[in-house]
Amino acid sequence: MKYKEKQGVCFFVYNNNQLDYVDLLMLAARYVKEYLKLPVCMITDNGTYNWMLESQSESDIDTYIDYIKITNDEFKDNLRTHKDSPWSEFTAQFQNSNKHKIWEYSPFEQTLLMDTDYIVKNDFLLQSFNNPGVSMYNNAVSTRNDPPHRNEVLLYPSGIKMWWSTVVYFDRSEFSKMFFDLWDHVADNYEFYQFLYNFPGGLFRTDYCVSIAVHILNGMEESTTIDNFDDMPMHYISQDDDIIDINNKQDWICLGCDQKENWKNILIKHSNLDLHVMNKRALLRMKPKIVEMFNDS
Amino acid sequence: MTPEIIADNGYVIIAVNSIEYRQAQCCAYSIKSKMPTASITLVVPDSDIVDEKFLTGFDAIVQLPFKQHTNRRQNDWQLYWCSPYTNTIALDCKTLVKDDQTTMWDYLIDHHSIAFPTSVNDIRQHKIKTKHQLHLENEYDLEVVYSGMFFFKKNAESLKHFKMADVYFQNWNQVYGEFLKAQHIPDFFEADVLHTLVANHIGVDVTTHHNILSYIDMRYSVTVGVLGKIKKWTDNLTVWSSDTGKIKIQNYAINGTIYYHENEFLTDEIFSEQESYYYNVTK
Repeated sequence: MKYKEKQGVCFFVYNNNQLDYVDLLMLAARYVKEYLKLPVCMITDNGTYNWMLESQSESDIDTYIDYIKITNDEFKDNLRTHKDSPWSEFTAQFQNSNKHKIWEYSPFEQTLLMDTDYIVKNDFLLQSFNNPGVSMYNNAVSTRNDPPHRNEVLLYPSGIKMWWSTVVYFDRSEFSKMFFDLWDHVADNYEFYQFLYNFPGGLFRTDYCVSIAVHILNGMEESTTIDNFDDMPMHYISQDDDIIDINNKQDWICLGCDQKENWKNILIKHSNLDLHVMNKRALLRMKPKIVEMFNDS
Repeated sequence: MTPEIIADNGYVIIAVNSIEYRQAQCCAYSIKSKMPTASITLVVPDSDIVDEKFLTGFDAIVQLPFKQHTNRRQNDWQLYWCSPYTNTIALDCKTLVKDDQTTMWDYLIDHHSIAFPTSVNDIRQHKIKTKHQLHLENEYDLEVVYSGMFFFKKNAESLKHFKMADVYFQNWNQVYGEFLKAQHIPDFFEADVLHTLVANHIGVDVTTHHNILSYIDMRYSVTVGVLGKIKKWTDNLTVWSSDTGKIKIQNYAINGTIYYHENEFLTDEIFSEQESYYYNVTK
């Protein structure tokens, strides 16, 4: 099969009534262009696409988005509770049940699939293009250097290790195809696998789907069949954390919330490392400053 | 006193009562399912009282040559004299072997006179740092070894270990008092602690470079780490088994050697599945 380009980055972008994923995409794409210098493909639906045409300037779209793929998938009902600091909560539909279809949708031979709240601040991920198969993070660390909640380390206390679907690198090998087929299968039989792997219910999480797919591909053992970006942890700010200021493109000042006593915060300088900004509204608040910074440079 | 050598290499398993004979037999089934030509010997206090039904899967049965301690592992020191092999791997009877150990044998024969694992793993194959390991390493500067599976040749170097074990194992309570502080003395006879003391006091290097004798230790899997303290792992973790000899604990397939510790693990169903797989493989 012929692909449009050798390497590139894909984002799934489906708006809901609370979060403007188009805005998030435009921020994430700016960083991809700056540090990875790769083409960007937006995978979206008609409604979100039309909103992008309305809300973003033509020049920005032309500059930051190289390919647009309109999908017409049906989504599972998946209401997610988001937080913006410990003191503010909102719910919104989270449309992620077609994420495994990236195999079909990506126009690239080697693809980095990223969530729109993942901000690339260096070229580390370019190394993954040398790996055969699939790569994902399987450990994470907060800006306070704390591990994530225990359900995001193991699916449950005596369960399997969690892999993050926030960033997925894959090539077009048979092995990668098998991985996405398995992901599809787990997503299709999510309730059965929830019973078998005992992960928390409620929200449909692709992290659980990929974790189970990895476990099965590893022969139900812990193994190194899937690359974990050379054991590099994924740095994140949680939904309880905030972004206070942006000194420059790479140098951000965050507010790290103590998970046990969440009225206690510390200021954290976060430089040069990629950052998964789980508090999406915090990222959106910084949009004017980030846009200005990119326009000035 | 030394029995006739029946093969160059083989496994010995001590069992001292009918529950343990059955466990040892299941262990033998598991070994022969993976290595049908392996030679396995059952070591018992009195071979005349062992029901014949327990002998399938074994190539020989031998008696403990000197004394019969009711705690099976307290008899470890006699293995040197009762093993009918030139090179021996001793296994605890509450063990199942789920992989082909041929290359491990080759490595051990080429490189070691006597060898023990220096760590054990949980079901994820992650190294477990046991409490007694921390104490013995930090407070006494001892290199800790585990003894659910260990290797020895019949030669002068390994003989030193067994001669010292003779004294230590028979007088284990006094040995604890002599070498350990009160707060670190185990409540019961602990073969791992005794073998550690013997190995360190003799000074023979019993460790392997790649720790290839390491096994899954379910006793420690549930007292260390994320599972917290659970009295019996069989009460909390689910075991899935099949008549193809496979064992899964929770979501993890068990490959390698597992020391399951709890008698409750070996249900009639698991035993008969291991048995039928053994018959299928060896028929």
